[in-house]
Amino acid sequence: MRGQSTASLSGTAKRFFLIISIILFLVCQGGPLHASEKTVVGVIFSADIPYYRAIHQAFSRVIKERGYAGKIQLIIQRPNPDTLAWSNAIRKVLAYDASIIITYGSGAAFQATYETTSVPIVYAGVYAPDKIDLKKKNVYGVGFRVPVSSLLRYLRQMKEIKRLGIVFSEIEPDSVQQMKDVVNSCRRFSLPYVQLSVKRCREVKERLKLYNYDSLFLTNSALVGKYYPDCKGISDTNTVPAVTTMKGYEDLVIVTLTPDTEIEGALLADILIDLLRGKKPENKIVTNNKLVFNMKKAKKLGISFPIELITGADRVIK
Amino acid sequence: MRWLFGVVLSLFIFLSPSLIKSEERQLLIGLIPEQNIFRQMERYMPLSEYLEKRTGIKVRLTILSRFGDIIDRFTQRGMDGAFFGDLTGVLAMEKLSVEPIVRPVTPDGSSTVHGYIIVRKDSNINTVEDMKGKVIAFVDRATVTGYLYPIFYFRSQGIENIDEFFREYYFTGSHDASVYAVLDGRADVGCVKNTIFENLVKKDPSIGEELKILIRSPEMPDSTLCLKTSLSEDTKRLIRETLLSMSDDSEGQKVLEKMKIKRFIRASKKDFSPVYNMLKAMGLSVDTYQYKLQ
Repeated sequence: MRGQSTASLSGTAKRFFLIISIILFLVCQGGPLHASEKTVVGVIFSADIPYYRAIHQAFSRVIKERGYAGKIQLIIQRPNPDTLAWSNAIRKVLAYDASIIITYGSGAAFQATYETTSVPIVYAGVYAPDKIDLKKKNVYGVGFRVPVSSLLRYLRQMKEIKRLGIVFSEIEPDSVQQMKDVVNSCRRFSLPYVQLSVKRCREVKERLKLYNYDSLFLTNSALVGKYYPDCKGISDTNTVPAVTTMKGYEDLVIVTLTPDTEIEGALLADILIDLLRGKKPENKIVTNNKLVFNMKKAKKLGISFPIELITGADRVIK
Repeated sequence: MRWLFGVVLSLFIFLSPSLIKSEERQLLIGLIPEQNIFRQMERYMPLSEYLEKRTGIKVRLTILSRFGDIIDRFTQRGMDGAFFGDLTGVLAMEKLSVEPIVRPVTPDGSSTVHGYIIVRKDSNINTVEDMKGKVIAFVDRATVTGYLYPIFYFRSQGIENIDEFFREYYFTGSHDASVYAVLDGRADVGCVKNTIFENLVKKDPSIGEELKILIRSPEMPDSTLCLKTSLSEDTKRLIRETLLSMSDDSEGQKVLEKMKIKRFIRASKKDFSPVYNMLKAMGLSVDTYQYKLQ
């Protein structure tokens, strides 16, 4: 009897403890469960430049509009544009258990592919990604295509180019690719050119001082974008017209033909949302560009701006 | 015989100014912005000087910033005639009481034009289906080659609503601007008149290397000079004969060369049949056609 009673009590106690344990478990897990719903997303800017900031702004807005702002935790890193700094930034976000890494610019994107093969990497602000080796299982992204020949065509209509300086970054594959495309266009137009290759920040100034050129093409690069504005003191940059495909340099150069960063940001948000939903995203290419002429700068450089050019521009700085 | 004809024509042109009414000794001729307005003015300037020299009639030119403006401002600005395009010609004949006088023949012998729908070669757009969700640049609602034909074509492909089919559409205001919009990637698809496209390619062959023509429209009348029917028959005849005989004298040839025209030929309302037919096929009426940009 006693034994039975003990067994029966023991069974009731067991059930009681089981129920209490489940309740306690659920209560205790309630908080952390809610916190862990936020997916940690590491965001690496290849450099803190206006172009990447514009994409990120558009991206953040769309994420908020679509109700995903509360579901992600962004860890933003803005390292200097060099491979070691990119690596460190990526390792840092991986240490924070980032489930997804967003990179602005090809430099950080490439470095991320060396650091992880399992965490999804989403790039943005990359020129012609289909032409550079960014095809990895865990890599998705939004690239852009801007016809560099158009910029040269506009430049040629404004002045006779004796030698075009093409400033590009050796450590950023899309900058190298764009340089190659500019070289091809120069050959088609029979334009003399010189390649100004940079690897480190101080080289931007050095190369600009070292070579002779009468026009500049600034390729899509975190390194060039970060340090070109510091070169305003160099006499050549004050006297030669420059063109670029990077947004945010409209005041420094005379023509910019840039991808629509609103679209780039929105497409980047689409990819992130797909990943959050467990869907495999598709890579996107932005082909819609914006044309800006800086008549003010052209006037300062003594270039007579053919007025017929500006009729099609999205914006004219007067 | 030919010399006799020359003498008679010269005598006619020489004596005609005296027959012209004094109020018609000055004509205001309108131009549409088929290419950018500066280039367009530059192209027609030598013609106005030539006409003045040959007829004694002072010919002033005025250019409108939009194609449709020529219909609205013709009377307001007191124009006596204009070089109308395909659709503006039809609208003008129906709304403004003008009659066709002459139209140009291009150096390759063509007296009509056609439209192209163009894309970048590296765009991966090869069919109309590929254009879905893209940005298209039209020229102006008041052109066949730059708007009406593309709409007609898209409808024939089952696309009734361009607002839904394209992500965005806009009007560039001139044919050359439409070409540059596609070249720059500011539009994925563009509409342009063949003569403007071919002149741009001739000037810069790289344009032809970067763009491809996907669709070509039927032939349409081009840049037809129409004069007010209320002008005296003598004035109309003098202008017509002077322009028709331009290619017979060296000075006239030089002017034509600058304009990239071989000669002028007589124009008639019948030339605009393709436009009337297209409007009819689309169920559109000239009276109610919305040629203005909203």
